[in-house]
Amino acid sequence: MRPIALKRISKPGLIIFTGFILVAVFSGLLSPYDPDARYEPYESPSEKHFLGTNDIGNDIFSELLHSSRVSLTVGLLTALIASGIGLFIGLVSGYFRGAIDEILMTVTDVVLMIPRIPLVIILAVFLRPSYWIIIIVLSLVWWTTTARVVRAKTLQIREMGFIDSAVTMGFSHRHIIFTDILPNVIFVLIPKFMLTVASAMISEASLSFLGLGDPTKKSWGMMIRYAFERGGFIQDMWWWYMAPGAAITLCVVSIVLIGFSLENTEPRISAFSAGRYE
Amino acid sequence: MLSLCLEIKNVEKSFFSGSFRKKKRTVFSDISFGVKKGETVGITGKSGSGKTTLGKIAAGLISPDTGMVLYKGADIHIMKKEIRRQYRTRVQMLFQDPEGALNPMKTIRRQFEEVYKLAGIEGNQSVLKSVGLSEEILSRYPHELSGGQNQRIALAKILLLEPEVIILDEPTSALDISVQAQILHLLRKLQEERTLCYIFISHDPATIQFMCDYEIRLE
Amino acid sequence: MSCLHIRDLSVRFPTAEGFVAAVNNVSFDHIGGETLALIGETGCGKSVIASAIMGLLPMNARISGEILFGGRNLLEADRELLDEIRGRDIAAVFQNPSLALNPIQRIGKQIAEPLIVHSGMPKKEALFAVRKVLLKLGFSDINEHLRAYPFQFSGGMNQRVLIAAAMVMNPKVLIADEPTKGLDMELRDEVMKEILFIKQQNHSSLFLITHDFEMARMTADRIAVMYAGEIVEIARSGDFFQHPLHPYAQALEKSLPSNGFQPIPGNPPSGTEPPPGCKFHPRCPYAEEQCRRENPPILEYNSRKVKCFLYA
Repeated sequence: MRPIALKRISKPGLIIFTGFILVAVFSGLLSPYDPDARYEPYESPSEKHFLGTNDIGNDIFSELLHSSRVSLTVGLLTALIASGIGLFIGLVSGYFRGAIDEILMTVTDVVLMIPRIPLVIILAVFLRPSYWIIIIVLSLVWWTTTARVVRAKTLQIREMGFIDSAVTMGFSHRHIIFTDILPNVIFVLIPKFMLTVASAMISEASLSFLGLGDPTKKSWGMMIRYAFERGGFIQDMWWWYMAPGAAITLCVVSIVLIGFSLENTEPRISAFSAGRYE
Repeated sequence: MLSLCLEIKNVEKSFFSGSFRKKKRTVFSDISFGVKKGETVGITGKSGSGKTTLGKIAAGLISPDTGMVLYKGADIHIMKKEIRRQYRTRVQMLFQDPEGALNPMKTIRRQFEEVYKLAGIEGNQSVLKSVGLSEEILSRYPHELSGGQNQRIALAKILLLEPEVIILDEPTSALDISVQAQILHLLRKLQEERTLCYIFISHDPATIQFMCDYEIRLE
Repeated sequence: MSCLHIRDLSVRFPTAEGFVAAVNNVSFDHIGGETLALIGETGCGKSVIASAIMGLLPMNARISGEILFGGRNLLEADRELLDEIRGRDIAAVFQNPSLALNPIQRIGKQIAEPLIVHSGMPKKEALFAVRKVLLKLGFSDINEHLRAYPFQFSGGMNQRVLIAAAMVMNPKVLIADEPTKGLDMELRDEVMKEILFIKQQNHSSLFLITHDFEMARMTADRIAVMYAGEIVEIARSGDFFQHPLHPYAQALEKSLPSNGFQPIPGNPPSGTEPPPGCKFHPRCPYAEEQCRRENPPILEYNSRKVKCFLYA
């Protein structure tokens, strides 16, 4: 990554987010207990169980750490697929313009009109609730903003003189897109990617809360759902639902911090900084 | 006529603007000319008269509304793939803004390496000498170099493809006077050495007089 | 009649490869009422001088020397004084008109702004004064023009508007930095005529920065030539164009279209590694041992100033 980007990246965001990634990867080592092991249910936080236990006696803290894997995976996969689709469509649309552009943009507009959350709900009703539905549906519907942003940037670069130059020299379209346009587009893609991860995690949490996630592999959203369903709310066991809630919030905030901090990091070229008189 | 490297025949171009593209502005119509080996044709006119557009049509970047662009007698827009590829290699264009014609994010070395690969030749830096550049510019980026140097680099890249025709769109207008003189002399020298055809676009009468064998004026 | 005195002005910029001396010990006077043309090519530092006078250099510039105007050193002036002087006593027109105009404000408002801010004129009065100026300059459809936005006009039109804006306060000094760059021949003549017309009307002095020999010849009273951050020759216009003294000035003249585009050998010097001794010596047909070792001082020669050992 360019040095400028590295300097501007939000340090708090990066530290916290890296922390979450590490937790997700090493959740096995970090958890005091096996999240499926059962102990005395409905226990309040104590020395033995840092965040108490849930309705079937699992240690909540261990559950929390393990759920990070699910939540983060869903968020990242969704963003990856959505960004991949958006990147492709944006590049093709912006580079070839004309009829292809009009068709693709019409498709984009149509997809934008689809109500996402209701769609996921309906699908989940007919199919078995699982995270894959969430990932696939969300990504199939979310590539649109990425496509728009990539297309705008592609159009802008395409107007620059060196593209004309490459065309007259006979470079293939593929070459021009990959070596001339793509490197510049990456700068707008990465912030968008981070923000998509954040949105995906929140959406997943909401959908899991509504019961559409897989109950055998709990995400943070699922944890909150169970907390509400199995009496955690009524019995004022705030540690049960606040912990995953705080985890989601903190993780999303860290991602958003990184995303915003990277937004305008395109390299700016100034004649004063090169060994020239001006 | 096979002695013509490139021929423009009855070419017309208009642009549409306004809502529903109702307003039509005809930039030029019924333009015909050709270039022979070793010859320089000048295209002059005020800014906005369509000189660059005509140049881009000759270079195959824009299609004319009517008329044809002929390379070796064949219409470039309907020619067969192999000849089209030949056209693409042998007919090149040098642009007005030297820095703009180079990708700002690639080093000069990398830009040359791409062209070597495209042309399928071994990369030896001898082309640099023929445009008056030293090897130390290879590690630089375009914005670190002067207009004159960037224009020489653009020219060197084109020369690697062994062109027959070069369309030059105001190649020296953005340069200082002393550099203009250097580049114009370089262009003349290269034309003699390699019997190139030039289509030279400029709004400056003195430059046209210095470089061109005959001129076409657009109103 | 006011004068602008530049004394030993040096401006350096820190870059990744070391300091670049954009302006190196430059001294000259700009006498009230005269047109002084500063000729030089890209990178010689002439625009930096204009920015220095207007106090518009970037924060990382290291400046030394004096810029005296009305008895005060502009380089040491506080923000208040600078704001007063800029726009009112010294006005500037820079190279790129599209960058100087605010795209989301109407043209009329922008031209009238200096009047409103400096003279405290109410908006209506200011616009009236602006209309007068434009009328004097030969603009047509003035009311529509004032209500329009910059993007609706070409660069040339906007440049003329900017000149009007600069003159609206009747400044004592007008700095014009390559005012006709990028304009085609007709527009160039028109713009220069306008600048000169206004200058006469207001009895102001014109500090014209250009690389265009012809324009300098047609408009200037005195000429100064810059190369690699230094002034190498100052002379009266007639004397200069009849016979330039400095080898660089001579070479520049030879490379004009009218003289057959004779190129100057070599390349302009690098900012971070300038040649030792005289900055022009690598390209000079008369270079000698002394030129390689010492940087010549400015020498007097027939009431002209040249920075060259040939005239010692």
